[in-house]
Amino acid sequence: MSQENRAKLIEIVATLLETDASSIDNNSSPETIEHWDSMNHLNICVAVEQEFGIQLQTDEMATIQNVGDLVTMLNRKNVACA
Amino acid sequence: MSTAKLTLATTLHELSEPPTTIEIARASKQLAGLDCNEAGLKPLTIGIASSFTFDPIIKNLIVRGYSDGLKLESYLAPYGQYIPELMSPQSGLVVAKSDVVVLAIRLQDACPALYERFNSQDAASIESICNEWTNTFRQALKAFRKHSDTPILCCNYEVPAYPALGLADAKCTPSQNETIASLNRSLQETALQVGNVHIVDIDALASRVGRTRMVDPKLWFWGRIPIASEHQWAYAGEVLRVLRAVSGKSRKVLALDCDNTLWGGVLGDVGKDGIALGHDYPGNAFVALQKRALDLYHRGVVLVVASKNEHAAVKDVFENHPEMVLRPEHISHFAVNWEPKPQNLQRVADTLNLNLDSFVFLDDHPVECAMMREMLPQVLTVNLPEDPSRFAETLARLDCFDQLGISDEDRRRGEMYRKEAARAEFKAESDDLESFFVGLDMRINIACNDETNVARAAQLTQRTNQFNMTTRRRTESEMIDLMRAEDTEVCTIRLTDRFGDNGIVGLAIVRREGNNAVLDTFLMSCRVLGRSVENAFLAWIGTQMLQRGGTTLEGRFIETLKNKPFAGFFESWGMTLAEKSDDGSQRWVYDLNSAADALTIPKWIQIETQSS
Repeated sequence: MSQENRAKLIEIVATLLETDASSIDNNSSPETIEHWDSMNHLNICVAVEQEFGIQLQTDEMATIQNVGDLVTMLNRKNVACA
Repeated sequence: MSTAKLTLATTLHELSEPPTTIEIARASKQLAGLDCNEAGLKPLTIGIASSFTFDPIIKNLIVRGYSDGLKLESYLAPYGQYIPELMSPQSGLVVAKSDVVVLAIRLQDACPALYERFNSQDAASIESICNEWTNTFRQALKAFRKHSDTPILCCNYEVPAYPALGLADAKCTPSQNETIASLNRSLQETALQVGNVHIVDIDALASRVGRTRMVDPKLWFWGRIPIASEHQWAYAGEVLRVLRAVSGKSRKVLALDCDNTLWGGVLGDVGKDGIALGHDYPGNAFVALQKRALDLYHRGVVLVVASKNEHAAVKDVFENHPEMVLRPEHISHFAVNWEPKPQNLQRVADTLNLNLDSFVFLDDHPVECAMMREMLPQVLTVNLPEDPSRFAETLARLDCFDQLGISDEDRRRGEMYRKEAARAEFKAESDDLESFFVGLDMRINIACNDETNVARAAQLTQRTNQFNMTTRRRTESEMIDLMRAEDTEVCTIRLTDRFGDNGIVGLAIVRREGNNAVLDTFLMSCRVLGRSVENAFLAWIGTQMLQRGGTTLEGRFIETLKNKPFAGFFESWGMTLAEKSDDGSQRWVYDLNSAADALTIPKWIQIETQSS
């Protein structure tokens, strides 16, 4: 499950940032991916909410700095994610 | 079906309602590469000026546009720059020369004091804020109109979910709700003054989806996006709905199944007295659906019955069941037999002289719906939900019948199509075409520049696709300008015959350029085509122009996918092809002094009265 959820998360990020899934790891962030701007940050958060059936506080959105933070956040919300 | 069309249909079919953010991103990527010709898409550019972050709505617009057969490209004006973008002749919005302009200006952004500081203003200052905004916006639109005649779709203003005065709002002067409602009325007035401006009713959208849910505070405070992500699809739908009406793409015919659609139960099994129709559930749900269909009938939608049943049994229900809302006089065709429904609809379309892409088919049965989608994809097939209590709402939600306005002709259209059936019967009985024409006792009445006909004249340009020389769409205000113009005549033709009044069925706009009379528009409702009325109309115009000293009559035929019926008309009437342009349009001319027969009105048509 946790591997599947990881693949799903990477796929969301890759689709919205129009980049290749294989190039994404936990350190991928607005600094390393060109299309990761404030608007796409919001899109990623909204898509993660929709696809995993969770809710993010606005503050949580602000603290997410990279893919690793998204993984941590999912686990905190009881979505097992490797 | 071509691969491109299949990709398009499959991708759209797989979307949830509303689609998720990921679905939108995937669909837009999948469909962006489609070839317009292969996929049957029409490219269209939209210029947008907005007071908020519009990007997410554009994505929804683009994907949703595909379901209307549009491949949209957009120009988005710099954030919040809506007034300079409208006013400056060099602005991106003007220079982009897009096919349509969308103005999404929230009053919360343009006049924040009316929302955030309402209670700290007195009546005079509220009035001055309102007047100032109305004037500023009106001037900006007028300035834009000077350098562009592009249709403008303009979003209106939302009343707040929680009025600042709370419960007392309704009783107070000024009331916040009333202030915003009155600005919406002023906006409507601005639209009329500027011309070709059409309101996108965002306030109605907000009330449908729920004012408290329209905004997702997170999206708003993070990204100045005032529409929650699950409602961005509906927002795009509201814009496209107006765009469809402006482009004359509204559907005109509703074909209804009977068993478990118009009434509960299978008529052949339970008989007339056994079907569910009446005051209690489930009968009341079917009555509600019929009432909704009758409302559509009264705004000009042609109703057709498409049912696999015994014809006589269905007729008996329509004539004699005490709880029926729809009666035989509301139905233009009873396609009731055991043949496949697509064949039946094809036949009805031929008889009505309407394209199948103006048909909607409503049925409870998934197999019938699947068959219709497969055989006649151009028909909009609506599969009713399982629960009859949702039927009426399903029909109410269809916005494909939308028109910009409703004329007297619309209200009487159903009646006219029924008379058309009587005419067809009379024609079958006549020995030849001429005796049919003579027996019809046709009388025409032509009026020029008569402003009482403005609504119908504009509507004819928006709705007529087939017998239409140029397919130039005109709004009411443009039509008034043309009627008042010194060198232009706007002529409408009304046709009456032994079966009754057909209403205003044709329109010609003629511009005098020296001795040359140039047809700008010449169109006839396809309902009355082939009765030589179109010949008589052009003959009358030619004669008028000759009497005013004209020497030539000229018309340009611009071919579209839909106006083939017009193609041979100029030649058959007696005009000569003068020029074929690179864009495919043809210039036809007629020498008014040639004393040919073209100017003679057929003897079976009587000109009753005329004014010019």
